[in-house]
Amino acid sequence: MATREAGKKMIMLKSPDGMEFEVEEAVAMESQTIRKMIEDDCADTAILIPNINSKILSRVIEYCNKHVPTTGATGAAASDTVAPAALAEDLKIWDAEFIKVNRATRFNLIQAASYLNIKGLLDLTSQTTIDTISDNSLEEIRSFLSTKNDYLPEEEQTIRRENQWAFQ
Amino acid sequence: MASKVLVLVWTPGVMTMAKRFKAATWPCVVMDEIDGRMIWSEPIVEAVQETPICLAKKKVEHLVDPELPRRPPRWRRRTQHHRRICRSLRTQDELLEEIFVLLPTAADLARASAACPSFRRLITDHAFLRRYRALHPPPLIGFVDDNAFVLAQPLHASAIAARTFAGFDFSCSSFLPSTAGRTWRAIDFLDGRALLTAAQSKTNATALMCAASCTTFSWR
Repeated sequence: MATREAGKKMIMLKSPDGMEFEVEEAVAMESQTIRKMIEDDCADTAILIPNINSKILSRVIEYCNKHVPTTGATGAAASDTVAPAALAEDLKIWDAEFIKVNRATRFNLIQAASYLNIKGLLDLTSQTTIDTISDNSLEEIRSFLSTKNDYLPEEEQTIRRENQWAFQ
Repeated sequence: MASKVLVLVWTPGVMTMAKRFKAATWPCVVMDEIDGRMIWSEPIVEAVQETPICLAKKKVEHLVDPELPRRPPRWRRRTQHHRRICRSLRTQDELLEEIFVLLPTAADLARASAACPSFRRLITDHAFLRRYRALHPPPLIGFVDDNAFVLAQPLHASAIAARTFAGFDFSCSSFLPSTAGRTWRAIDFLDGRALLTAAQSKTNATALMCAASCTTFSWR
C-alpha cells in the first residue's frame, strides 16, 4: 500500500513467504524494475517479488537503504559533516562486509539483483566472484564457490595438462 | 471561443464516445434533435453555433488524435510487469555464464573450467566462447615468418599461453587436402587467417584456400 508518511512516499514490497516490507519510494527506486512499476502507476498495492524469500529481500533492501543517493535535507546535512570521499570509503568497507556470505546467499543475491535490476548490487556480487576466480588457486576457487570437485583424478590431470599455461 | 468543436449527433452509445473524446482533449458537445429543432447540450452552445462541425458517427472515429498513446488499463500494466519479472528470472547456470563472460583473461576462464565439470561444460560451450570472444579480443600467441611460427616471447603478456604451442605443427598438414606432391605455402596473413597456395609458379591453375584462424587452436 502506498502511503504518505512525513512527506515521503512509502512502497510495500511483499515476498512470496508472506512477509511485507515497507520501504521509502527512493529506496525502492534503486531497483530499475520497481522504478518502472512506480512510474507506470502500478505500485498502489503491495508489489509481490516472486522467488525472493524474505531473508534475501531484507538484505537487498538493506543494501538499497545504504546506497540510496542522499539528496534533499538529510543528504545535505550528511555531506556537510562527512566528506564525499570518506563516505565512499565507508560504503566500500560496508560493501565488503555485506558480501561476506555463504554461496547460496550470494547466488540468491545475484539472482535478485539480476531481475530487480539493481546495477550496484549486481556489480558488487559478480565482481566478488570474478576477483576470486582471477586471484586464487583452484582449491580456493572451489571453496569460495562451494563446488565439489567431481573430476576423477586422471580427468583433472588431463585438464591441468591441457591448460597448463593458465596455472603458471 | 474554441474554433474546433466536435459535435456528436445523438445516437445510442454516444455518451460513451463523448467521454472518450473529452479524454482525448477534444472539446465536444452532444446534439439532440426533436421534431426538427436542434437541442445543444450546455455549456458551450454559443461556441458550437459559431463553428459547428457536424459529423456522422462513423467518421468521428478518425478524429481521435493518433498521437495520443492509448494507455492499457492498470490491471493489464500490472500483469505485464509481473510477467516481465518472472521472465527475467535466471537459472544458476545462466548467472554463472554472465559472471564467467566478465572474467578478464582466458587463463582465468581455463582455471575456472578446471574447478568442476559443470563449470567446464558452461565454459566450453561454443555459444559461450563466441560471446566471450566478442567481448575480449584473442591474445596474440605469435606470428608466422617464412612458414615458421614465432611464438610470443617472455615479457609479452601472452608469453605463458604461447609456450603451450611450442612444438605445435602449424603447417596444417593434418587437414589440408593432398596436392600431388606439392607443398602448401602461406602467401599472406590477415586478421588471424592465412592464405595458402599449392600452385606451381609456371601453371595457371592456382589453388588457394583460407586456413582456419590460428586463434581457434587456443580453444579446445
